[in-house]
Amino acid sequence: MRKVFSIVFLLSFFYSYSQDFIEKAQVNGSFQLDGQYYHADNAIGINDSTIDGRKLGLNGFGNISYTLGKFSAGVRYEAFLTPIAGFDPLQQGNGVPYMWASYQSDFIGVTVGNFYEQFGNGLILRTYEEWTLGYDNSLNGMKLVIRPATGITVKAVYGSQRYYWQKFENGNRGIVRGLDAEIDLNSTIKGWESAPIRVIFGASGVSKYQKDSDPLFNLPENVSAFAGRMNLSAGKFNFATEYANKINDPSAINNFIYKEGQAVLSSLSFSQPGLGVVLQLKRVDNMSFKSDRGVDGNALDINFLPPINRTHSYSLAARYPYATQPNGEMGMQFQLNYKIPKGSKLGGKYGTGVAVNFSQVNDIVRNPINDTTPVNSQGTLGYESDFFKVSDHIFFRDLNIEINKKFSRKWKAVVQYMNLYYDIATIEGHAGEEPVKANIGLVDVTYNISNRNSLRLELQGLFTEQDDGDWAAAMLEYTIAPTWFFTIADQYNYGHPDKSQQNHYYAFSLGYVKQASRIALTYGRQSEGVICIGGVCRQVPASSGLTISLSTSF
Amino acid sequence: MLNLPVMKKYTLLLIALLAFIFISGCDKIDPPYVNTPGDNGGGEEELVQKVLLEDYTGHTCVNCPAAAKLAGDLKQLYGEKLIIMAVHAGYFAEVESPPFDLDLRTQTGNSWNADFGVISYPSGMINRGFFGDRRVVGKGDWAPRVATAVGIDPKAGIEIETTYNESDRKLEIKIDSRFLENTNENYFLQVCLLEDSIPGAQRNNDASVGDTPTITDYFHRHVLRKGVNGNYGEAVTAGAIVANENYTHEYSLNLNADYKAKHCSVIAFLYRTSDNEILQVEERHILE
Repeated sequence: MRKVFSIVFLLSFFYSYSQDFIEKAQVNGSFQLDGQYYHADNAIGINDSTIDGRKLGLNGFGNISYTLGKFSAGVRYEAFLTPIAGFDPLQQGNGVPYMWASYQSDFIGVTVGNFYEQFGNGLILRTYEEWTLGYDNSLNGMKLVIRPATGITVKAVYGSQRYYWQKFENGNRGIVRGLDAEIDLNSTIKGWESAPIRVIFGASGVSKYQKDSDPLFNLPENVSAFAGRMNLSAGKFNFATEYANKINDPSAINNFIYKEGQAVLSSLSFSQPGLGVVLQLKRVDNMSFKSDRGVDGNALDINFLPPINRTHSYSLAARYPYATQPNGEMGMQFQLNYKIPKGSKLGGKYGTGVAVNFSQVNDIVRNPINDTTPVNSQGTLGYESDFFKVSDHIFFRDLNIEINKKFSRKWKAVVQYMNLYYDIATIEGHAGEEPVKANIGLVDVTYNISNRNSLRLELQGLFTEQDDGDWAAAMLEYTIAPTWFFTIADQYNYGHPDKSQQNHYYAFSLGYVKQASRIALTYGRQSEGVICIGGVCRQVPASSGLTISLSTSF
Repeated sequence: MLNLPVMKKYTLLLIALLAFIFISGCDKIDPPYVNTPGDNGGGEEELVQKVLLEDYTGHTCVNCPAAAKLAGDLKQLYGEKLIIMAVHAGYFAEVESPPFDLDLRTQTGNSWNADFGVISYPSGMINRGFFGDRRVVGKGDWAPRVATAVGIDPKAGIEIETTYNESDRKLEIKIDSRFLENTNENYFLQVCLLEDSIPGAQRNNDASVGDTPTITDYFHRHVLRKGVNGNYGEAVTAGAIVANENYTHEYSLNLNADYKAKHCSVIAFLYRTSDNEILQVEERHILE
């Protein structure tokens, strides 16, 4: 009888628990499939041997997360079969590279499995995923977050990083351990809650361990990096700065030099309705930090060096994007956003938006460590560098002005001018090639035919005597809100120095959007280029064919 | 002053402990940073495990001279135990306007470049092995992999005999392969012709190696010139491999008029067809 009672009790317990498990839970998900069907197109240099039988590239993922009160868990499935052209062949594979479970309360949060994390600006630790780049440096391990008091947060992480589909075993890459603490003084100190100045301090340390099995060099097996940061805000002003230092970390990226690394990032901003001004400064010196010292591609980065350049969205303006130089760079950016008030002569009925942006990145100064050792010789301290000296060598400069104007309920336009200096030898590794000096202009006009129907026309021109020469681009988009859009576009490289390569890169697209689902089809050509997100870039080869993109979420 | 309603001693203790655990690792290395070459010449024992380092490179690849230097440093460290083969293939090996009009690509190299999925340069393979990870790796992974591969006990031996007739530039090659154990696995023998020290131009971004951005008087080392018996060689034997049996293969070719015989060598390697991993490799200069 007791046995029967026990079984009934257990069944009723599991029944009620499973009811909670289903009814009180929340399940979310998102899916995306990007596919490209390639065909030979000899005019732009794509032949059957280029395609090499791989006519179809398919990249897809599905995220599913489950939340029940303070508990949550999730998985991400990915399939790159075969990867779209331009993605690393190591991406090829399918499976569940990302799974996690987490408990979060006001005091403590624990995550096991795969996770993303960032300390401060990421100068010594940032793990993230960027689908467009095929980049994922997530940590597989444990994360602990403790909030011992209001305004104080302490984070601890350890784990190994994702490297495509390769399992972490036998020390085939390093182990990452990190600790971060942040204190918001206004929340922590009694009486400071409503102080006019808000102050946040943070400090972090990250250590990686990788066995030294190199016969040539005496390598550090434990490499540590430390960072301190501060954020001050008072009224309309905000000042944020972070400094990071890394001990000797010889690697394939820095040519196995033993110099310490350092980075500093500062930002001063002013903001009020109708006016925003930002000034940013950055210095990076030997700050590549990877959990495998032998890897020299876009993988296994422990840290992230934020770019301080405008990210352009128009195709020709984005043709020469800047890639962060972890071995050394000094940069600045100034951004002004001003809204000319409504009713004024220049502002008109709706006001006029003006944005001015200037950024420049130079190399750092490197001096030899002695009279006999060339700069950056492997197995040495590499070089000496004065913290405040800027090299004459310009990597990148971008001056752009954008005017955004709504003329009436039917008409609005964006006009942009950009002056660019792009050291293609450094940024894309085309040694010996002259830096690209380009002027780029564009107009983007939208005409609202009715509440649901609109036409948008983009006209762009890129004028340069270097690299592939002049380009012109045009795009016409017809939108039936909120579901359909159709575009016809062409990029014409009419100024290519080799007349046989003065190609048109035409494309026809249509898309359908319903609730959280989107399907887009594009047929046409894609020109060779580089895409960068957050200063991390990948080469995009020229291609021709049909592209499909499908995404949905719930 | 601090508003710490829930902060207890154990929390502080835990944080301090975590800080110690996570951040304690910090190895500051003092000079000398480079290990001194040891006596790794090899050749004293009857059978020595040798290792093939394939360096995929190209004359407009700016990072390739540093990789070639690294390969040379490893050669200095391991002597005859390490055999280097530079395979010029891919985008950076394409012929361009002078001074980059030298074509060092080969049909065999192009085939390997595509089949092994080499997409960035410099890249390398060490005995075409995965080492539990991946086959094609950047130069930063070469040294530890060579160190591992050199330490493996040999399972086969190769002897190369060459006869070169200078008058008609005819090269006769005789390869004797011997395995130490019986095996039913399929092994192929690949024979290649290499030429060393070919003068030409090379892009470069490492001032410690040479002029930047172009070294005009560069010597391309250990360059693959030809797959003597095709791109993937031929079977060692039609049947099962018997321990200590001598498997002989002979080849004959005429040396291209552009090749300098005094810089040419023959390399031969045995590889397992199931995973392409190289079991043993040998090199012999044709004028030895």
